[in-house]
Amino acid sequence: MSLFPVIGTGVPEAANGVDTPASPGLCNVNGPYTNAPNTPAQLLKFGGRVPCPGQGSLDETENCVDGESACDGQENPIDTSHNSTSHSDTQQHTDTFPAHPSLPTATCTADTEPDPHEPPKDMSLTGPSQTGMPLNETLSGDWQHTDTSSKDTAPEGDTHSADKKQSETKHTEPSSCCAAETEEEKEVEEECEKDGKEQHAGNTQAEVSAEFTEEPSAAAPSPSSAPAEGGESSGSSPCPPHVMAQVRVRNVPERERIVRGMQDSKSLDEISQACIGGARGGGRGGQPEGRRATISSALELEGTVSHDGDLTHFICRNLEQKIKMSSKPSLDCDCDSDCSGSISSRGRGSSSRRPADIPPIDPAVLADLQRHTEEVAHSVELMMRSLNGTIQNMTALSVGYIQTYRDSVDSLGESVDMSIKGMYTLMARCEELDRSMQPIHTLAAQIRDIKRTLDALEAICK
Amino acid sequence: MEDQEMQLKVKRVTDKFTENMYVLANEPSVALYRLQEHVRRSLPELVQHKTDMQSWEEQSQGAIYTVEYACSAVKSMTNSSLYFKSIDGLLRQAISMKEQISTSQGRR
Repeated sequence: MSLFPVIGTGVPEAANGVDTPASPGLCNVNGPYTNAPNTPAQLLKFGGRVPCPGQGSLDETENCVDGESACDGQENPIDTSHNSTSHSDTQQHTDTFPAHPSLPTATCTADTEPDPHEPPKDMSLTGPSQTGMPLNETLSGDWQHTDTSSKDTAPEGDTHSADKKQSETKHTEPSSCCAAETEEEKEVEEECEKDGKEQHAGNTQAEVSAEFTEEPSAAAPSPSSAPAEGGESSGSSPCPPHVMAQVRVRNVPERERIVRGMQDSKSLDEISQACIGGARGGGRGGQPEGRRATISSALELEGTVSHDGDLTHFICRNLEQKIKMSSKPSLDCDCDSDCSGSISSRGRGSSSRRPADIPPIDPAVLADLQRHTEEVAHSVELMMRSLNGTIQNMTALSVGYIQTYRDSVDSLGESVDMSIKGMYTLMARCEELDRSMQPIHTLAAQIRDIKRTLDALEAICK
Repeated sequence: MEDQEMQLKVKRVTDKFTENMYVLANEPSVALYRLQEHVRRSLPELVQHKTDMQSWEEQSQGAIYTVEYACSAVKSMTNSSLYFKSIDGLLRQAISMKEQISTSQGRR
């Protein structure tokens, strides 16, 4: 819960710095103004809104009055988290947000010379400019005035550095486009952009504050500022985990990237980029990576290497000559010429002369080749067709053969089956006949009796 | 030089191609010929066997009919036992009558 001096009530904090509904409408985007900076540097950081004078309402007036007292007593430690995001929002709404009549900072600005020509868009800063400078210069959305304002507030900035550490945020930094930015500032901004919007009261604010405090000495060479910043950053509290990198000397990370790129990636893209960066940064590609550097340099000698995002383009120079040089005779000549240097020189000379000896390429070659190829394909197709037909005939004949064989085998089988059946039938009949022969014996006996009787009768009759 | 080299290359290519065509066309041809040869050789034997079988079947069919007729004849022969019995009875009567006649003539 941060104290909101304007209305004298506490304003609940929002986790992301979003303006809470409980907050009064007085502070719309900026949120509580307890963290109103005391210096223009801080003003630039927070990007509060400055109301246009003359747009005041009753509330505004009252807020102005309250804000005066609040602004005057602006030395309390400020809760930055809520303000940072609010100020970021402010920065985003700088161009679009109209002058809010209820800005308490109206009072703060009232102390200064309000600029009637100040467009509503320029309400990017909150807090008074106690230095007496016109707000135009300090409160423009453009960070180009950062240097001057910082210069003016340098003495105060030193005194309030402790407050800055807690109050300054990085959200304001990306919006800073100071024309007089040094290299360190750029790196810091890049690092801040890397960290993104995950915002805490980062200790990098110390770096930034240090940077801005040293802006009066921006004329000093950058290396001098770098070690100062490095010292200050090193001297400051250890960086939080979300800080990706510190402010460093420019060449060092370049070299680190070179080495890292060469060690981690073996792609041509990395190598070429690393070599190019190394060449620009100091020309030292590293002794172990000298071979890789030569590959990239060799490519660059043979053509143009360009990078389009992930794509690597290579435009070769004099491609026709290279093709001719890679032809068989030139390769044989080169192979033969490996034995001696003189021969090699001769070979090189002959190979150098070869392109001239080779006749110019006939443009009709492709057409002739296509025609011949079509003829060959046609012939092959005809041959395959005839073969297909012949084999089909042979296959049909063979099918007839096999069908005949199948029929003969079937008939043989049938005949054999019939024979077997007849055999069984004959056996059955014979058996039946044999069974039927049994009563014949009695008949035979009867016949014998009849015959004897007849013989007896014949004997009597004689 | 280049012509010879080209000729060599062309010859090599065509040789490979023709070899492939040989393989492509010859294997089924040879297979079909083998099939036909086998059929041609084995079919007459099969026919011979079939002919023999058929002749044997005819003979067996003849025998079957013969046996069947014989069986029917034998079955019908058993029907004559009654007649033989009556014949036997009549003959015994005839013998008895003759003996009576002869005894009656001896008494006169």
